[in-house]
Amino acid sequence: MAVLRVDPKACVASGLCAAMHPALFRLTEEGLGEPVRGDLTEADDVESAEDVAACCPGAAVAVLDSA
Amino acid sequence: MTAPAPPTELFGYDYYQNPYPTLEWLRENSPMHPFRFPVGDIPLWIATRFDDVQQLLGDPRFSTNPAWASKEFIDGGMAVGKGTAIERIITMLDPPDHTRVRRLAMSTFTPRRIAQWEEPTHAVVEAELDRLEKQDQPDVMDYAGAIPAALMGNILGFPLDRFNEMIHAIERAFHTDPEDADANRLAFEEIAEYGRGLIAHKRRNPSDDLASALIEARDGEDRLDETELVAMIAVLIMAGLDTTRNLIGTSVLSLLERPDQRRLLLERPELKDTAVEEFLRFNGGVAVGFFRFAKEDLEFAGVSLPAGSPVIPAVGSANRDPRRWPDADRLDITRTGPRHVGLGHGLHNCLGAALARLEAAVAIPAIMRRFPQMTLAVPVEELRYDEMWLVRSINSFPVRLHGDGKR
Repeated sequence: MAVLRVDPKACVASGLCAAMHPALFRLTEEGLGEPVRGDLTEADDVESAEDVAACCPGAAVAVLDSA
Repeated sequence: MTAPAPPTELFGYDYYQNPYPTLEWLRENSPMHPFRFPVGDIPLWIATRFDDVQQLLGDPRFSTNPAWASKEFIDGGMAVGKGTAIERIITMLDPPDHTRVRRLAMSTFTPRRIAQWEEPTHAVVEAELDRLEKQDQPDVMDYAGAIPAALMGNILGFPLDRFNEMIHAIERAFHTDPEDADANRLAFEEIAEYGRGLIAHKRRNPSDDLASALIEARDGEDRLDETELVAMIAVLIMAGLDTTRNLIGTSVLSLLERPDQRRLLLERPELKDTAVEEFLRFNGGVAVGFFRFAKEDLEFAGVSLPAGSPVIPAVGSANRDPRRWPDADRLDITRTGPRHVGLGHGLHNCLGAALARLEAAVAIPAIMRRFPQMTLAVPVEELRYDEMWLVRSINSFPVRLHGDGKR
């Protein structure tokens, strides 16, 4: 339904994504955000990921149509 | 084990003048330390090690919202802004309210959008340096406060003419004088009232700016209620002013005290960005984060906390933890080591981080470049820090701009 990406170059390692939605995001050893799964199939998850994208201080999270 | 007491009383006068020996003692001897807050005599905890502080800031079992706080905490009068619009600031909202409010402002403060403010920042800094140079008794804190006031005013869309009054109100709001509990509330109310006045003016004169966008989200689309609108304007003023002001002030002081680092920054201007990260780590303005309340009975850092327990995340201590940084008490503007928590971590990480970094990266090198002979006008031991729990704030920082030769 959608593809979830975190741009590691834009990520500022704030930890917001993993704190906001630990089911969708986790932090690497260096503190960068990364998706737990790249493909989102549930509408609720897409909406949650879009919330995170809009709150991310680095604008590093992208939720893309997988059409 | 000897009596578990740190060298100075936490949040007492001596602590404010130099908290680092006490914070080091806590990291080594009592990293999750129970004590009683001087205002309201409230039992709480302070976390001082990096790993614990970072985990606390990102742990969804804790909230900044005083709705989760113990009765003792609320009765002690420590809930920030209680009884004023300030109790609805984004800093203390839980999801989903936090998400709804943060979405409205975040796009204005992303690194890409803030990069557009680089030229205006240089212009503000040069104008403030000109103004500083004309003063009979130049004070670095005046310079440091004027820069975030001008930038935040430009971004919001109204001149923050009364920013000096607001800086004083912010400091009163977070003061830890036990006789001062009502003064805290009155100071928060003063900040909220200033915000209401600015909003009323902006409603009559909308433009292409953040305040107009927030008013539109309130009046046009009903995505904010009126209290949240006032709280958002107030928190942008509060968080935008005194934090950056003190980051600039303490960093300039750090450089005056360390001629090698001062020289390095002038000789290698390209170091400005790593220098700012190091300033944020070393003495980054914000001393501790807002209280975190355990939302349930839980175990944290080896301690059992009943639901409602308040824990202070001591970010200024976490950033000096030798477990994370070698030689953590040394300022080294070439450091490229691990990330600090000077701008927070997790859900409530600093919304204005990119702006703070830009302001610091322009303002700190610029004053050192303009006044290469600048010295303190008083012995460093005579500088005093305000008794304010949130931010490490120098009361007055007089300098001789041209050293001992000229005025």
